[in-house]
Amino acid sequence: MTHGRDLAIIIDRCLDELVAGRWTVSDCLDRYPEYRAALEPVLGAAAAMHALPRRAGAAPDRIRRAAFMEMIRETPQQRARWWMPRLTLAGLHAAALSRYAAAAAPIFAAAAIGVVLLVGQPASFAAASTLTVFSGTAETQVNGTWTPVGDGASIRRGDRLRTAADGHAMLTFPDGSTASLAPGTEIAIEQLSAGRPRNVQVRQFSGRLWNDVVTNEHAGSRYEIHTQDALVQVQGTVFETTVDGAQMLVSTAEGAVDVVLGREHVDVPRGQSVRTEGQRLADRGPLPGAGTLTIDAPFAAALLSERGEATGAQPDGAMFLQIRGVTTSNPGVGPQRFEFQRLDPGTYTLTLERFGQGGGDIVLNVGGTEHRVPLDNAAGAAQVRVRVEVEDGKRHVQLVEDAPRAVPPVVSPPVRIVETERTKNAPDIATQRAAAAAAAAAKRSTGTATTSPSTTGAEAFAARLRQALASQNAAAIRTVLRETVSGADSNLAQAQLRVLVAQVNASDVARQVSAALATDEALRTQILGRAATALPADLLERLRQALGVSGPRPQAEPSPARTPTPTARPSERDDGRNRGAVLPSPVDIDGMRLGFVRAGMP
Amino acid sequence: MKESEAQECSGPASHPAEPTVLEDAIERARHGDADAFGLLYDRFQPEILRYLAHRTGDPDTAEDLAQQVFLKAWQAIPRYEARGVPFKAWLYRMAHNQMVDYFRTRRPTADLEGIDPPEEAEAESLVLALEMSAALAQALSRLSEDHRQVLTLRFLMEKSAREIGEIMGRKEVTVRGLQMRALQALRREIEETGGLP
Repeated sequence: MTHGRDLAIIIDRCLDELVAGRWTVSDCLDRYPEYRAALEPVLGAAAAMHALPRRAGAAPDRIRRAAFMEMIRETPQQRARWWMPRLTLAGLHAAALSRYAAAAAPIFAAAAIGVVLLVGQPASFAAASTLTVFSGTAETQVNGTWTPVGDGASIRRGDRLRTAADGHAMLTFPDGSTASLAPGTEIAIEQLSAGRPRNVQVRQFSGRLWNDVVTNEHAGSRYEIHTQDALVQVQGTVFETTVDGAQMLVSTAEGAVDVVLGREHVDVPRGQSVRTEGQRLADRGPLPGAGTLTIDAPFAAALLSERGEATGAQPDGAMFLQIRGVTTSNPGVGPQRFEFQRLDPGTYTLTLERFGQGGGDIVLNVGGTEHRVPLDNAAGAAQVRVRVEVEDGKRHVQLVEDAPRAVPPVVSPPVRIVETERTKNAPDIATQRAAAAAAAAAKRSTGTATTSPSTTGAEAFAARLRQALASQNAAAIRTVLRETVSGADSNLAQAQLRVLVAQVNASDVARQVSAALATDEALRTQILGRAATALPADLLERLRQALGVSGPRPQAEPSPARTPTPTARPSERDDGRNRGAVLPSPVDIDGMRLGFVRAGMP
Repeated sequence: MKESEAQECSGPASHPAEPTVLEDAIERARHGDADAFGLLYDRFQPEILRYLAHRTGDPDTAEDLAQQVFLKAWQAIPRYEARGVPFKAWLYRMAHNQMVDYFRTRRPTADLEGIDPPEEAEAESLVLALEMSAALAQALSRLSEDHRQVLTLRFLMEKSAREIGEIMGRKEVTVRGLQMRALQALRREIEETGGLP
């Protein structure tokens, strides 16, 4: 051991005893006489430090504590969300998840967090928005001086924020609404309240601000962008404001925007943009579209920029619109569709993650020309690159590859989302899709939407029935069929019987079901009895025919085995009264299309 | 140092009863339970506040900074890993970073580096109230940030070298060397400014 290390250990021991009050400086010097010369000056300084008065601890001030608790209830936590299959996907084990999490942790831990302080407001904290810095520099103004601010910083009412020429950043407000700042954008948060109603008011001085605003139906709810001469107010929509001196461009990608110029209100609907100069409307016109990209397959897709911004959805139901100039529909209600507008040029990565069974295509539509890329049925996660180029002021979007590249989820880039109520409460895409399909089918049949539990229950019933049919076990089929008569929930029974009708439209299924019931006439009678009260006449008749109860079936029409999805006009809708030849649309459940065909077997 | 504090700072595993409560509160707070975080606030805020008060010399500033530290902790706790740094040490690191940020953006208003010996009117409300304290404060203000931090933690917060290591993210042996050099530097500064009264 070196002399220096010896001395350090001895000093540490002396300090322990000195601080604990067991030794004095003299005690220590007496104990280590050979080190006296080195110890004496050091312990003299230590004794002086030890003599300093210590502050007493006290329980937190009650008023401050109450204010703090109120504040954190309105302040979102920061969570890293990762592009990975849900736990239910086959082949993903807990151990693999741990590896992903371990890989993720250092990256996020490395993100420096800066916090902007409010001066002079010790006990009255407003809700905070959370800053995400994708690349470059973002700065806040403190006491008149611009100071770099880090990823994860809290930005509050009164704070001023700007991005440098290389800065790409985003604010996430407490309700999950986001505002993405392009390079050279400067804003100030004038109002910020997370309560109900929401109140977000931003003053924009320059640059481009891409806003994804969560719908908030509460009366008095506000999301406003103030500029030198105008006020832009919305409820739930996606829009962009570009400010250059006295000029402003407002483009509405989704929903509608109200631009207030003095006393004049200018409505900017979806797909439109307006240019203002001072308090005057200078120009208006359609927002130039650069194409669409449709994911016609059971995959949730997200487009990722080279900087890490993302627009799209994840199978767990999280949706995000962080890339300026592109929007996405919700894959939970139908094929996911990206619409490109003022997208920055560059190469983007389209990352796809499966949420259901089946295959399909990626369809890029530019100017009416379609480019299809088939998706591998087996792939759980895949990527394909999308290139955006600008030539003569026009954007050209193209797929770089003709086939998606299967990727293990761990190599996929992360989607950076600040956790809010918006993401925490989103049901997963598969659940949304099944519920939407079942509700739509029920609505077409009865004119009313089914309740969520019924559609979910029907979805589960369909899965069990398919499983039993696949097993070709008559007893298993009867067990599942018994569910239609054993429950007290008439809505669920109705939904289950509709699923049964859809299934028995296939002749082989009808034969299987009929054969299974041949040995249990009582169950067949019970099912038809409940169907008589739950189903409209045409569906009942179809079920009776399929189960071999009624007389000869009508002559089969020369129709395909699966009818295409009809877009029924209102007069044609099956509303429970006018049930002519129009059939319910096929239902997509769990990636499988349950079709309705006209009565009659081949 | 009190035994319970040493155990608490060293992490949940070293105390059979207390860490269970803390561990549970941390886990619930990680999943968004504000009330659970309130328990952590009650438990640790007084100590963090005390540390910030010692470092800033101004109770009001320390209150503000402590509030910011806990807000930041609330936001970041979903990413907190108990296996890495003990929770209290994690809070201390945030408090230290918060204080450094504060002085960086507001210098030279209240940093120890720029603090003048307290005037009589302020003496009662400041940590370094006595004449010797003023001389010490002046000497401390000339030390490096690492030296100031280790001395504050050692003498004013009464932390052991091991705990200081957890807070500063250094090995215990490194902290021992650091505190020795900090005391030597403090002694030099005291002598250069005419010694203690």
